Amino acid sequence: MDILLGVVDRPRHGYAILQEAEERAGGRPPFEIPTLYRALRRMRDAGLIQPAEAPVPEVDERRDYWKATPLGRRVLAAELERLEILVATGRSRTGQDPARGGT
Amino acid sequence: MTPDDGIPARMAGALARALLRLYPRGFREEVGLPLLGDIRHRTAELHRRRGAIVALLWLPRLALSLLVTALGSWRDELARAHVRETTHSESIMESLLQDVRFALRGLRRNPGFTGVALLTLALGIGANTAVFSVVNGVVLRPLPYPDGDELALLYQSSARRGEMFGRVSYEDLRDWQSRVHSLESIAGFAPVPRILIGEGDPLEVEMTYVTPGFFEVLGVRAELGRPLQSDDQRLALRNAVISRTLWRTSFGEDPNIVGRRLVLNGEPYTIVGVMPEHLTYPTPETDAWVPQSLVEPNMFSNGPPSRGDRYLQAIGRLAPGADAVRAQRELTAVSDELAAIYPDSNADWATATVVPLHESIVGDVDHALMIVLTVVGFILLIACANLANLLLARGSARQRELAVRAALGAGRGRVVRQLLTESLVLALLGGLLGLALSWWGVRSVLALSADTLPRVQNVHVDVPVVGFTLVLTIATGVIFGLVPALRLAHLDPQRHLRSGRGSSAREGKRLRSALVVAEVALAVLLLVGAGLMGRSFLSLRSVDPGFQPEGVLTATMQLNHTGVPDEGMATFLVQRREEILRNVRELPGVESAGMINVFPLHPGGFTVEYTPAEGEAAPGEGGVHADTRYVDPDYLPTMGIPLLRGEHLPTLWAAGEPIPVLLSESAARRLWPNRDPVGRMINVPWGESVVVGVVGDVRQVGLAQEAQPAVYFPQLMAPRLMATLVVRTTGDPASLAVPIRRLIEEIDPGQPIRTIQPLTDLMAESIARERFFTVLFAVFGGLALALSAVGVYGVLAYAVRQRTQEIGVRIALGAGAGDILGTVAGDGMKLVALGLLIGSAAAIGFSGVLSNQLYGVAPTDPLAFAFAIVFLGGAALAAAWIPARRAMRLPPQTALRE
Repeated sequence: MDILLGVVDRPRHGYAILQEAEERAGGRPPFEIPTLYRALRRMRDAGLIQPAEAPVPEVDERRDYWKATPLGRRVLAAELERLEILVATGRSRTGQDPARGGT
Repeated sequence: MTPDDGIPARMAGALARALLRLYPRGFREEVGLPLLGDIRHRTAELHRRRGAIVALLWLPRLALSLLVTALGSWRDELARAHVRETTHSESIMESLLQDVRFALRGLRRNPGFTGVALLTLALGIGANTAVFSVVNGVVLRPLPYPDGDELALLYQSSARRGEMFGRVSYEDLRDWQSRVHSLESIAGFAPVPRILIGEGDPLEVEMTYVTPGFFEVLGVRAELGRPLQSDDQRLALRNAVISRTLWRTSFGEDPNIVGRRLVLNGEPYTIVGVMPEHLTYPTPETDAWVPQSLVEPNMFSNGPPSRGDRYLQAIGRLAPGADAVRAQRELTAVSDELAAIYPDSNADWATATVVPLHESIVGDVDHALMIVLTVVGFILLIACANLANLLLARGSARQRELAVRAALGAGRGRVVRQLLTESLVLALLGGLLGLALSWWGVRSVLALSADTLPRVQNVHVDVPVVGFTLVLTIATGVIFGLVPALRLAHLDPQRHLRSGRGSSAREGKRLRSALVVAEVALAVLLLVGAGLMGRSFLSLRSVDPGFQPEGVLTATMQLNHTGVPDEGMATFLVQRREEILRNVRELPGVESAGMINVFPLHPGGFTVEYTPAEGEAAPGEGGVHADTRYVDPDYLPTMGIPLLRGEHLPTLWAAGEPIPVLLSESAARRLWPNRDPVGRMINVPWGESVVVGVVGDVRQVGLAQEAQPAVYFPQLMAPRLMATLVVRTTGDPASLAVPIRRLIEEIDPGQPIRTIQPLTDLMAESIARERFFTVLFAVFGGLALALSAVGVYGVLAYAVRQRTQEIGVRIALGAGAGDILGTVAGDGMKLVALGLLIGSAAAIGFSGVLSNQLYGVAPTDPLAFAFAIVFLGGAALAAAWIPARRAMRLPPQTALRE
């Protein structure tokens, strides 16, 4: 999910994906570099991501850039929707629903 | 030094490089470099932001991550390989199906080619399947007894008498049983014909006396009740077991059969068991088995019972680890000891012979059948050559299509695969047709074989046969399809796309010619074989049997003596014979009639040693081992057996006078080579007899075997149960069959007749096996001839088509019809001549294989070779004529336009 999030808006290379994920997680990366690269290959084989050309200003020719495929976008959307429902249910059950006026 | 090339970054790089070696190659090649780069970059960043110590402390985590991810990558790699394999085989299946669809479409679009090809295949494969069915059923199928290959027949042998397969006496059998260890069990048996009365019409059945353990040796259990046991033998109980067939036909499968009475020849037995259908020993016709201890005195001998009464056949089961050779050695050793202990009865029988049961049942027919199987194999090869030629010719027309495919990127392998698939599809369709044809073929072969083949009840088109057909079909498809496929796949696509028409007039001509030469050579081989068999058969048919068969009717029967007491038996049998003869002689159309106990060309009877009586032998004169026959005085004249010296047997002779006998010419020559035997005395089992005459030799055993010496006794002196009536008529002997049957029924309604047929039919039956194989060879030879003629025609017709333009030019330039004819036919005949030469040379080499099937003709008989060459040459000439004539008549304008 972290990887898909990292490539859904624009193409990024592996290290950039790692940095973004690290930022989102508050400074602690959710995976190490070897894990990241294995995941990139698996997601490419599954058709969720594909190699991409770098956005022009950032061209770093050493690196392979990746972007989400249409399938990858759909999978991400479905996963986000699932998480939304989960969060809403959780908040409602624990009384944290702002609409209810909880804390 | 910057963090990028500081110690932590370098250490991280070295660590990653080392641990990357644990990864699959695919991973390393795809992402190895960026991974290394990012690890160094990450380490450098950590160094920059949080110091070298933190960066160094990160390395163990990195190492762990690298190790764990390595494992995971290998799992991914295996999963990827599995997907690749599945996808690959799915795509192979798809293209195979495509090829099959394409092949079927091609066959539909060319009905002429398809028709000829399928017919050729069906004939070739069908013939092979039919013959293989017979070979499988008769030879290959194991015996229906458990561990049937451990069973063997045991014979006593006499070198002096030249007899390998002598029977044994009961006493000798008991000695064998107790002293031979390489056979775990031995039993004896003696089949005899009997008449069953009381269950429907009187029926002649085969009964067998068996010693204890007979069924155990074979490993057969009773289906109902029990088999015979040692007590039945020991106490001479009148118990019997019957066959399933008899239970069905005469007893209506009565479930309460055990305990019922069975009356054979007036003697009652109690049925104690029913044997299963597959027990066909000693013959498929055996209907009843009784204890050997019920054998009556004088049944198999001419005096009181003794060790010299050799009437039992012996069968044994090899002990674990023993083989026939060892058993034979042991039996011989024991026989040798017995010869020393009992010289009177056993001196001559000091050796033994062991023959595996399978071999004895199948006999020598397996050799002939294997030859026939080879013959049909050759026919299939000829068919393959024809098909290969057809495919090559058709392939030439497809060169453009194949060139286009190659140009579009289809690899050679792919094209070969497609063409081979087409051949296999054709072969499989032909194979199916062939299988259907073979069903009819098997029936024809069995009908033709007319009981000359053993174990025919096992011949079916069954699973092993279908399996054989499948393998043969696939092999055929590969054989005829591979060469054209390889040839066509290697064409240069550029050349064929440019030229616009088939330019392989010269390409492949050598191959096609070679195929024609090969099939003509094979056809010669088969025709020579057919010619040799035909000559052999004709030679056999023209053998002088020693008697005059035309106009003679024979009727064989076992005289019904139900209710006749033992003491009156001899008189009864004599009187019954006289009565039958007297009545038959009075029938209109009858010239003469006689009787004999065992007919020539029939198995049965026994041989005895005869020597000149005391004082009759001179130095150089010895004994003779001769067939013994009992005849009425008119038998020999009725049969047309010539009287060479002396007189025929008298009807009566005075009491106290020696019994008169007749000697066959060869018997007389052995006994008294230099003197007239008439009037001399010979030793016979009951004393001495006087020779009253010498008659011509007769082929006792079969037309192919030389005449055996024989001694003829008047049937008065030892009337036998078996009788063959012979009747010479002025008209058609078959017309007497009904009157004779009626006459015998009037004399005794309970008298069954075993066979009644003209003597010429009997003679034909005696060479039925030779006829069977001769006809098979002739049919297959004819098939080979037809196929190879078609092959020659096909190649020449194709050549004419290819050379149409050239021929047109030549005609336009003034070439005569004769020239064109000569060129076209000449080309073809050159190939045929080469094929004839090679085939003849091969036939000289291979005909030796047939030598033990031939009678009266050498394997290199020139007439047979000439026949093959003339026939095949003629057929090929005719086949070459048609396209040649067509070429000759081509109007030049048409030819030039083509």
